[in-house]
Amino acid sequence: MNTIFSTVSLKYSALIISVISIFSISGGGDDESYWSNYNSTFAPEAFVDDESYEPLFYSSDMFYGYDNYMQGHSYRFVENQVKEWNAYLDNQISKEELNAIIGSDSLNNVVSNVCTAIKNNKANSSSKKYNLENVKTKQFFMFINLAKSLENATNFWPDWDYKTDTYSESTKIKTSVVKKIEKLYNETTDTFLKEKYWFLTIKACFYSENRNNTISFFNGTSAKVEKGISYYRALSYVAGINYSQKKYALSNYQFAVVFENCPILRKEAIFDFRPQETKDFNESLNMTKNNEEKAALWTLYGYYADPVEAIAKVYTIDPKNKHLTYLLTRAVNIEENKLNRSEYIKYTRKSYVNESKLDQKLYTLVSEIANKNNTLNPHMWQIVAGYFETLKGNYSKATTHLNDAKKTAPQKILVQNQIKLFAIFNQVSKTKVLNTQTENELLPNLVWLYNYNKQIQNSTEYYSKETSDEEMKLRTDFLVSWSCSYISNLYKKQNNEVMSELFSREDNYYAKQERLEKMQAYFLENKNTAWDKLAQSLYTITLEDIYEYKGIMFAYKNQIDEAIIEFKKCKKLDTLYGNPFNGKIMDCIDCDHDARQKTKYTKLTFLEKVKEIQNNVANNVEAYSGNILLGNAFYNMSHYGNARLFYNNPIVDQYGNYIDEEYIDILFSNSQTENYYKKALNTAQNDEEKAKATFLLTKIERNKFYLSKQFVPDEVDFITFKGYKTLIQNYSNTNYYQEVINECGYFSKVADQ
Amino acid sequence: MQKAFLFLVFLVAFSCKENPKNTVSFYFWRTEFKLSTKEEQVLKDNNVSKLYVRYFDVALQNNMPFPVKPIRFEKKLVTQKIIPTIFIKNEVFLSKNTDIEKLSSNILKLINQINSAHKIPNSEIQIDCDWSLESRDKYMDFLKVLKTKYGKTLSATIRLHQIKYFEKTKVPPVDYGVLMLYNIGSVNAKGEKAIYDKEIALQYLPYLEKYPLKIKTALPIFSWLVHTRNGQVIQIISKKNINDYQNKINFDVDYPKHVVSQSGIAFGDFYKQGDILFEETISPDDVEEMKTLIHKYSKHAQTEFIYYDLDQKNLNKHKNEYNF
Repeated sequence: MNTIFSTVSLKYSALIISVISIFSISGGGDDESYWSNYNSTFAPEAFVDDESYEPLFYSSDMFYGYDNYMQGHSYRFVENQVKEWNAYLDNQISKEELNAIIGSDSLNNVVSNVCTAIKNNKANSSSKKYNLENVKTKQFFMFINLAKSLENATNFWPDWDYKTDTYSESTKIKTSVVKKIEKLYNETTDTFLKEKYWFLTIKACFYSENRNNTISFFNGTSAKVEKGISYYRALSYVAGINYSQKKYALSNYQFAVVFENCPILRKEAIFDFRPQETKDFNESLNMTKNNEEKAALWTLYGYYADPVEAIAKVYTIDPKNKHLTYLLTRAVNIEENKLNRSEYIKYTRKSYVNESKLDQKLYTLVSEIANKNNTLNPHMWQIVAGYFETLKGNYSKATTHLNDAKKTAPQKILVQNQIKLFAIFNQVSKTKVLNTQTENELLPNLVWLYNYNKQIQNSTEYYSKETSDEEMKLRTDFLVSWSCSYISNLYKKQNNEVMSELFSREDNYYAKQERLEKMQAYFLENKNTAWDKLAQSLYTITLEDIYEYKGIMFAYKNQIDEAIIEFKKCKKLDTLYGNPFNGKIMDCIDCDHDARQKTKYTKLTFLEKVKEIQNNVANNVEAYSGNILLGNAFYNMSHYGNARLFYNNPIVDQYGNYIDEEYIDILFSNSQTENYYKKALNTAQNDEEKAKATFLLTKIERNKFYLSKQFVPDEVDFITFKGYKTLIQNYSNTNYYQEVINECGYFSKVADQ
Repeated sequence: MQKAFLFLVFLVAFSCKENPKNTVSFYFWRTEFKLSTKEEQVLKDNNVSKLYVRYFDVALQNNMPFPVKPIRFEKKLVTQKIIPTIFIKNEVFLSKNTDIEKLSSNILKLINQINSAHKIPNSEIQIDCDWSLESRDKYMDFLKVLKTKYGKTLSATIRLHQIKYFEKTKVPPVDYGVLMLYNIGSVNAKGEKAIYDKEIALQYLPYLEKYPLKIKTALPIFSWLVHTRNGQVIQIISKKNINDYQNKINFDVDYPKHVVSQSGIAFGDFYKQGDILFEETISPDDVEEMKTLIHKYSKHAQTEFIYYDLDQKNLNKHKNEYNF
C-alpha cells in the first residue's frame, strides 16, 4: 500500500509542471487572481452538509481545505475495506490488525507466511495466531496476499530510474495473471468474496499489458455487481480508459455517473471530468438515462465552466436536486471574489465592494428561485437573495428575504450567524448618514461582529478552544474591514476627521498639526458613550502616544521646555538602554547598552538633564563639557546614537535601518549636535579639548558623506575627512589623538600615509 | 538644422547595420523526442549543430525531489549534438529534505541512463532553475557539487533580474550562463507584453557589462494567449494561436484583444462569454531587435543564439533563412 501517486494525478502533475517550466519567469506572478476567505462573507459549510462536496468549494488551491492536492488514493478506501472485512470475518481479526494488514506494508511478511502455511497445510509461527480452520479467514489471507502481489504494478511511486526506452510509470501485469484472477472470480460462490475478486480482476486488467480488455470484462459482468464503492471504482477505471481512447463524451458521462452515485469518489470524478469541446458535453448529456445523471453532468459543468448556467439547468431539471445547494455556494463565492476587494495600507486593511459587477443573470435567477420556495434549502436561497438585494441597494427587500430565511432556517448556529452577517451587511449598507440615532442602531450588531471576529482570531493564534470548529467556519474578516472602511468614509464625507480616523487609521493622519489637535481634543473630552468606546477599541493610538509624539517632535527641534511639558503629561516611563550622554570615538550602540551605568534615564529625565546642562552652558558654567554633552545627547537621539528608543512611538513608527522619507531629515540629521560640538570647539581651553571636539565633528562629517552622492558603493567607499586632516596637522601631540589612533583603524591608516 | 540632419543620417546608417551571423541552436522542450518534416528542414536549413533537449524536470513528490516525465525518444538518430537540459523547480532547493549530494548523483545517473539507452554522447549539461534568494545558497552549492562530479561542461540559465542584482542573487558556479531573454514582463489581465518588452529589457541589459560570467543568449520564438476573466488572469495558453479556435469559439476582435462572444468549451477548457484572450506573438523583427540589443550590451562576442523552442507551431512566423 505504499503508493503515492495515481496515474491520473501523475498525468496532471506532469502537465502542470511542464507549463511551469516554460513559464518559469523572472518577476511576474499574478497575485490578482489570488482568492482567500478574507474576501468572503459566505461560508459554504453553513449550507452543505455532505462532506464529499467540501474539497469542491471555491478555493485558490486546487481543492478547498486541508487536503488540497490530489493525494491519498491508497488510503481513501482503507477504512471502508477494514469495516467490510471485519464484518465478513465476524471480528475474528480486529479492526486495528486489519488496518495494519490492509492499510500498510508492515505485516506483509506475516500475510505471506500465513498463505504458505495454508498452501502447505502446515502451520508456522505466523499462522498459529489465526484460526485458519475458519474458511473465511483463510480466504481473506489468500485474497489479500494476491492483491498485495499486484502492487508493484498498480501503485506508482516515483524513482530515479529510467525504466526503458518506452518509459512508463510501472511494470505491467501479465495477461496470464489477470486470467488467473478472473478464474478465481468465476469460481468463487461467496457473494462478498466474488465482488472482491471482481474488482481485483478489473484493477489487474487496468494495469495489465491489455488495458483495453477491462472494458469488455466490465461490460460482461457489471450487471451482476451491486452498485457500491467497488462498482463505481471499476466504472472510474473504465471511464479513464475511454478518455485515453478519446471517447470524451462517454468518459465524461461515466464520471458524472460516478459523481452522482458515489460520494467518496466525487473529488476524483470531478478531477477527471474534462470535455474537450462543447459537442463532447452535449453528447454526454444525450447519454444520460435519467434526470439525476443529467443534473450531475450540469453540476460538473458548473464546477469547471459556469455555475450560473448550471444552476439554471439543474433547477429546471429538478428544483429539489441535491447538487443545487453546492452549486449556489460556488456561484456566490465566485461572485464575492469578483466584487470584494481588500488592500492592506500600512496600518489598516481597507475593503471595498464593487456592487456594479454583480452578475445580472445570477441575481435574477436567485431571486426567482428564492421566491418560488421549492428547493431543498429554501432558506439558503432567501439568504443569498437578501445578500444580492443589499448589493443592489434594495435594503427593504433584503430585510424581507433575510426575515423569511429565519423562519425556515435550521437552528444550526452557523446558519443563524450567517443570516446575522448579511443583516449587518444590509444595515451598514443602508446607513448613509451617521448620527446618534444611526450609530445607536448599528452599535449592538457591530459590537457582536467585532467581538466574534476577535474570538476567531484568538482561537487561530493561540489554538484556544474559545470558539467551536463550527463557529470558526463563519467568515467575518471581510465584513469587519469593509464596515470599518465604509463607516470611516461616511464620517469623512461628514467632515468628521476624528471618527473617520478611529474607524480606519490613515498612515499620515498626524502629519497635520490641525488633525492632531482634533484627536487630542477628542480624547480629552473623555467621551465614553458605547459608540465612542467601540470606535476607540478599534484604534491603536492613545492620548499618551499623542503627548509622547509631540514631546519627541519638540525635542528634535531643541524646544526642550515644550518637550518636557508633553512628556510630563505622558505617563510612559520608557528607560533608555544606554547612557545618552556618551560620546565615544567608535559608535557602538550595543556596547553602550551593555555598559554599566550609574544613572539610568527615562525619556523625561533625560530631557530634564539636557535642560539643566543647557542652563549651565547659558550661564557659562562648564561651557566646554556642557556643549560636548549636549552634542552627544542629540547625537544619541538620532538614528546613529545609542538612544534610538527615544523616538520609539506608534505615531512616529520608525524602526531599523529603513526610515520613511518624512522622518529622514529628523532622524538622520546631526545639525543640533554639530552646533553644540562647534560651540565646544570654540570654548575649548586646550589642545586636548580641541582634539576631541574636532574628532566628534568628524563623525558628523562621516555620517553626512555616507548619505551624500559622493559615496558610491564599491567605487568611492571612503574619503579623507577634513576633520582627520585637522587632527593630524594640529593635534597629533595630544593624548586624545593617540586614543583615536588606537581605536579607529581607518583614521590610523590615514595618519600613516 | 544641420545637426538634426547629421543625426538623421547617423540614425539611418545605424539602423541599417545588420546583425552578424550567428550559430543557430534550439531548445527542444517536449516530452517525446520526434521531429516533424518541417522541424527537420529548419534544422537543416540553418545548419543547426546543437539541440538543448529537456531530459526531465525535477520537482518535489511526497516532499522529496524526483524526476518528472523523463523524455522518450521516438526518433533516435539526429546528427546534432544533444545537450541534456534539466529543469529543476525552485521548491526543490527550498526544501530541507533535499540532499544536494544525492540529488546531483541522481541527476547524473538518470542522464547517463537516458544517454546510454539512446547512445547519445555526453559532454555538456545545462541546468534551468529560477532560483530565489531563499534557495540561492543551496542551489549554488548544488551546482558546485554537480560540476565536480560531472567534470565536463556545465551551464545554467540566467534570468534578467539575476543579471542586474547578481551581487544578491549570486552567480552560478558554472562554465557559462544562458541569459533567457523572454518572460520579461509580468503576465497580467491588461494585455501588457510579458514575453518581450524592449523597455523592460533595457532596464536590465546595461548591467551585462558588470556580469562576471560568460553568457550565451536564449531568444523566444513562441507565442501565447493570456486568458482573462473579470480582469483576472485565468491561464496562459501556450502552443496555440487564435486561429486554432476557428469553428470552436467565436471572438469579437480588437487586436490583440479577443473577446469571447459565446460561451463554449475548446481544448478541454471553458471560455465564457466576455472572457478576453490576449495574443502575444514574437515577430522576426522583435528577434532581430533582441539580437541587436544583446550585441550592443554584451561584453563578450555573441556567437550562438539558442531559440526557444523547436516546435512546428512556433515556426510558421519564422521563415528560416530570414530569421535564424
